[in-house]
Amino acid sequence: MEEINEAELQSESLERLLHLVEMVNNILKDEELLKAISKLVVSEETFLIIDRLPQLIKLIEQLTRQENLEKIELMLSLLQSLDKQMLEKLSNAFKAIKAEEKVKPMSISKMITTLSEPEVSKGLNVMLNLLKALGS
Amino acid sequence: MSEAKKVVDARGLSCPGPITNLTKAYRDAKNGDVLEIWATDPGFKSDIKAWIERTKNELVELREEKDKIIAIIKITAKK
Amino acid sequence: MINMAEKKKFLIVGGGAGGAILANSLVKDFDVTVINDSPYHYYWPQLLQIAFRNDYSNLYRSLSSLLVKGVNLVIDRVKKVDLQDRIVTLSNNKTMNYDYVAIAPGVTIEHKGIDGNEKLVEQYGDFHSTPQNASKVFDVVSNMKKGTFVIAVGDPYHRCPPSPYEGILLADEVFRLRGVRNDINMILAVPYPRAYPAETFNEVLEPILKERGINVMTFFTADKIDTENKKITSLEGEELSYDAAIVVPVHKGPKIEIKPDDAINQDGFINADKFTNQILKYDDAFAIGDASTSANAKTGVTAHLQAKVVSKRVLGLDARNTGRTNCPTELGFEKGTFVISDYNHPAAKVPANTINFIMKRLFADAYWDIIRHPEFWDPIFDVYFENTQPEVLWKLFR
Ligand SMILES: Cc1cc2nc3c(=O)[nH]c(=O)nc-3n(C[C@H](O)[C@H](O)[C@H](O)COP(=O)(O)OP(=O)(O)OC[C@H]3O[C@@H](n4cnc5c(N)ncnc54)[C@H](O)[C@@H]3O)c2cc1C
Repeated sequence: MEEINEAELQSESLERLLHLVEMVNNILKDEELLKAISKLVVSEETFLIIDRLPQLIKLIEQLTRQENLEKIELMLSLLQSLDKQMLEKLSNAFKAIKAEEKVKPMSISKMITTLSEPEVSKGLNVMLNLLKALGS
Repeated sequence: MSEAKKVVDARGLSCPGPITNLTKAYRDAKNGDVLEIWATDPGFKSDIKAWIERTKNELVELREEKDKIIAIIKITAKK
Repeated sequence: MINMAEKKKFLIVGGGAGGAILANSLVKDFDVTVINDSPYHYYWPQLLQIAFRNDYSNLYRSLSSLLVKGVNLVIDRVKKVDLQDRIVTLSNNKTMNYDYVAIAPGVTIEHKGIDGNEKLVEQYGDFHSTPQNASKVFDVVSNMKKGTFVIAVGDPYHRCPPSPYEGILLADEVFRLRGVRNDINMILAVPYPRAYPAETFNEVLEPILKERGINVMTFFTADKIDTENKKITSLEGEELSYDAAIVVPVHKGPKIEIKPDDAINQDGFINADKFTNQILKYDDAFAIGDASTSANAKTGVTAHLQAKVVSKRVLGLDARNTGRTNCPTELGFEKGTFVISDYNHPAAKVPANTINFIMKRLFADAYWDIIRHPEFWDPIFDVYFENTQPEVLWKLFR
């Protein structure tokens, strides 16, 4: 009885294997499917990625180290706490500073007034927090 | 053959939708028949108006009840 | 180990998509017999591939090779099912009795349901009936050089809701590849207020039809075909001229006498509960798939899901149909989408792209394995269906 079951089991797994081979064969014969897959896989962008794969892997390795993961998580929570409107104001504030710079070097008094603008000081705060979170 | 009144219950159908049921009933209907269609799909009201405009049959009544939309149609334009 | 004598007798009428999966899912717990009127199981979606690609590869397999060991197979035509006395009568008047019965014989195609369609099919074929008719379509689309090419829907209850759209888009692809597209006017005529009946999915489909230059005629239900003068008249009273035309034929229920009479509706479909597939008050009788009124869309996926519900219910579980549809739709040029809806949600706006085409083809190529090994595929499908619920998709694709 035992032996028969063993043989039966073996023939069943053999059959399963044959069925899987048939399915893979179906897939490999499906020219249009393969064309679609290769279109997705073979593009300028994917080639660039493949080209840079060694660097990317290195980068991923660094990013996924425990201590870095923790930092990234902190940064994410920080990012979540920022609202979009405020970020827009912040970027406007930065642009404003830059525009001023182009015209003439900013006078100390001008800089102090700029720094005391609520948008700018908020922005600086964010920057400081980011730097802290990064642990630098 | 006498004229008939038929209720077409298309409640709870959104795809392919109540118009499909109406088409089916329309195939079997003849001029003079009255079809009463029940539907819950909110898009039904505009669809039925468009159908009437296209087929030139007569919309006797279109009303909304608590649990359904009811359209009563008199078949007049069948060839 | 359960003794054969203790197992209850489960008869399954029809070994198609629904019947075969049901049999393979039940064999552990029941003494299962499938009755099918031919030794073959057909994969009907292949008719489109025959009609527009001349590809016959996946059309059929022998049914015996798809059924798990232990399932009995009888090749014969069922004439009658008596639900009251629990008797199934075969073509030679031999009878079989049962403890449970599931009726899954699919549809009957009735070309004569539309005046002139029998003649039209002889000329141009179609892709809802037989491989022979599908091959006629291929002849037409690979030889036509100019004129008007029409696909018209005569019966909104046809198999696979997206199939007429797939048909016209695949025809467009063939004409383009042959370089004759500019000389061919393509028309899709439908009974609905817009190209696709479900408004939401129409938002995905209509722009594609437009982009490919296909003219859509709405509120046009093909009713009469004048093959002499090459004209189709609609139920709504309009006329359409063609040089080549395919009219999606009328679908009726199976040609099986079912007792009592109120178990079938006026078109011959079996009245079954949309949640449980039970027929009337008979808790030992079920109807699944295309033959049953419980199938809100005539698709293999629906038949498959209903088979799973029945296989659970007869073991005492309270499984229910959700009305989930999952119609893979090929759009030509390696693009695809899915029509996904359920009883409580209209079709989601699943975008057309290459990934969806790949998914569709992988499903198709895995079809035989899915039928043979429900135990292997069930968990995979559970995850797939769970993560692609219309409710979820509605949030993703607004
Ligand atoms: C062009 C086209 C494209 C499609 N595309 C898709 C798709 O992409 N995805 C999808 O999910 N579905 C698709 N479908 C639909 C799908 O093929 C059907 O919904 C599915 O086959 C239904 O399964 P069923 O078991 O109800 O019936 P069937 O698969 O038709 O099986 C019925 C079986 O019963 C047997 N039978 C009939 N009468 C009797 C009798 N009196 N006695 C004994 N045996 C009998 C038949 O021989 C057959 O084997 C498509 C259909 C078509 C036509």
